[in-house]
Amino acid sequence: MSARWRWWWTPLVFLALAALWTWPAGLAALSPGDRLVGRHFDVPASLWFLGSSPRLLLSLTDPMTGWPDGVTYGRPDSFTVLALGWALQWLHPARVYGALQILGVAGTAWAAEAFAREVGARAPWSLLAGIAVGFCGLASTALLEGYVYHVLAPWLPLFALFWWRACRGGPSGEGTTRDGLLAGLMFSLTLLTTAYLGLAAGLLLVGFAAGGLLRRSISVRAWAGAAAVAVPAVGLYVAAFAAGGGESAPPETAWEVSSLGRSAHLLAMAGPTASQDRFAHSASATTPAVALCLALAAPVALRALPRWRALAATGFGALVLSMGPLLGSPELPLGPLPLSLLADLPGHELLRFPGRLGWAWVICGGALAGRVATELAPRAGRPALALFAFALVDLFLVERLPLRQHLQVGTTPSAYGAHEGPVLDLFPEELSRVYEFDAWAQARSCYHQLEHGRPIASDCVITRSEANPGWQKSRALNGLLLAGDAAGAEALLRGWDFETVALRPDFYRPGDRAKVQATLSTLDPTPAVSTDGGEHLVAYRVPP
Amino acid sequence: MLTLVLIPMLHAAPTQQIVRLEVDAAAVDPRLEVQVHALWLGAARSVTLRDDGSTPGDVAGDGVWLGELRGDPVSMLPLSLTVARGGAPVTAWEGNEPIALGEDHLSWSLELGDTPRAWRVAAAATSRSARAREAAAVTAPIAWACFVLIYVAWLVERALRREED
Repeated sequence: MSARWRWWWTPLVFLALAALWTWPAGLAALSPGDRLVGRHFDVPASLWFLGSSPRLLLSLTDPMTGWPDGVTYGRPDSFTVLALGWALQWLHPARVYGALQILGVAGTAWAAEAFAREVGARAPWSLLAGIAVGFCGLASTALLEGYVYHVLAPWLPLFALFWWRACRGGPSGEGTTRDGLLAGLMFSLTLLTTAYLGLAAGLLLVGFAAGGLLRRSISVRAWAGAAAVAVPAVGLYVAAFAAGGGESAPPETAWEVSSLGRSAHLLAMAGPTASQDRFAHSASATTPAVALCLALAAPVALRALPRWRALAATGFGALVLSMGPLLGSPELPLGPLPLSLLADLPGHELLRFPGRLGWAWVICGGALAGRVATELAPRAGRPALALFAFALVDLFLVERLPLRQHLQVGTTPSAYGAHEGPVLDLFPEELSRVYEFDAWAQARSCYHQLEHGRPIASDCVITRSEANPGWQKSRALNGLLLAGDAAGAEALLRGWDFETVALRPDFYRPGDRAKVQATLSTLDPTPAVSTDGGEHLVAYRVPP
Repeated sequence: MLTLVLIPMLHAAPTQQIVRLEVDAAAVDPRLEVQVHALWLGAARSVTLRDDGSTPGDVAGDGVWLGELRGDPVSMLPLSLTVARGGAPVTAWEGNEPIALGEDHLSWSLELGDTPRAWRVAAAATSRSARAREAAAVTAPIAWACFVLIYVAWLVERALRREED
């Protein structure tokens, strides 16, 4: 079977599976940008990031947000997305985003399949490794939550591939300088794609290197090549990160870090539920069962083969770390895990999502699965073919994509076009009766900027509402409007140099809505009103 | 299977929004009246939910009250849920809900006490079956993984046996 397999069938299979699994991303890629694919508020926020990258790429300072002071996005989520957004700026960001969802999943799966072949798997069995990585729970979470760059990382499995070669020594052939250089390059690209994937690459780096050291068969020149590229890149990244400032992460308890959506706790590893989709950002940490079970068979199926222990130890070690500081769920903690030892170290609060370290697990587990299947298939005969059917069940019935996917309105309210100049999006401040309302409001006002192109008050990356200049200005203005102080409101708006107030009256309580609209009407008795773009928007012009 | 998955999504540029509303009252009270109120793109809208079998898919008298709202595409809805039992309606829940483009489902679980209270739940079913559904979503993949593990073990055993032969 392996002899008949053509190499180009592999990317075609992954592309077809990815198009189905990420559906309706394919439609979004072909649409004029009127729909966004994803369930949560990070989707419009990520689209703003993608669409604004041409002006962010060079300086990371954006005068168009955080008006009038501007914002320096010193710690962007992904330099890779910045570069892609700049390169593809001639396409609508929603189309780019849809295309990246498909190509990211397919490309990452293909790269993981290549790594599996590097460790001895043969096609088509190596496809199981690609499925384990490109279509795992972490990938589904990235697609549903809105972090497309987490699936846009073929560099991570390619780093595994070249670093695996670089850590090779002895009679089977020593890693070359070229292997090391490429490993360093892939590590750097992974880190630039997102820091969490960089940490996952770090786990692979340590695990494979430890395997080489234990065998006392390392390639010094390969390691030197990797260090020559990766060390300067990491140094630059860390320096930029330290200088970037950005949002400080408040100290969190082990309970919080272990919560659903942060760590790969046991519930999230079983399968996604409707509640997780609705209330826990679609957090899923599932590994396709076929990959997990084949990896568990490695001690028997691969016992006579070299180096599988390094792969297994690295993978299962990463799995344990991804489970966070507590075993079990926050509601039912069963005991501490190794990550709890980090709790006293400075900077530990930066590791807020240990679950993402699971990428290192799926890469190693997937490669083990492909290797085990390759060993079993010739001797087990036709029944081994059922493994591919099982993989499809894992993709479409266990992970349940694309059925869990949602569309969001992608058009922009036309009332934004009634005026020119800086615009302050005004929302009520709600503390108790809303579900992530502030985050949704901020993300959508940022997304609309892609269309109306006017300066806005929001910081489009920050996650804590109280620290967002848009939220702060909205709060200050609401206070004056509710008090009926039209002169004070006008002075405040002029002081900030806003030309328009974009009010969402529907979200105010009836009494507050009447007061706010009455006060704003003294500034502009004939505001522009629109109900398209999925929002009821009333745009008041600030008197010149 | 894939056809079943794809067909509902082929019309992925909806121009009409449907929001299906479901309230699990977990009690049958002939005086009970459940209403959902929305401010839909500036227009006040209300719908009376029913449990009399008149709504497609409803089982009369099962304690699950159904209704729906339709309109132009909307990204987030301010909603409130009121309950009356022969007297003045009482607000049991209010909040803003992000709405998926095309069709979305919103579900609540309603507790009828002296002061009725409702809370948003993910599954559109009675509390008991909702819990069962959530549990099934966790246990079914575990059972599936166990089956696959047994199958893989059988493959390993078969391969080893053939190797010995």
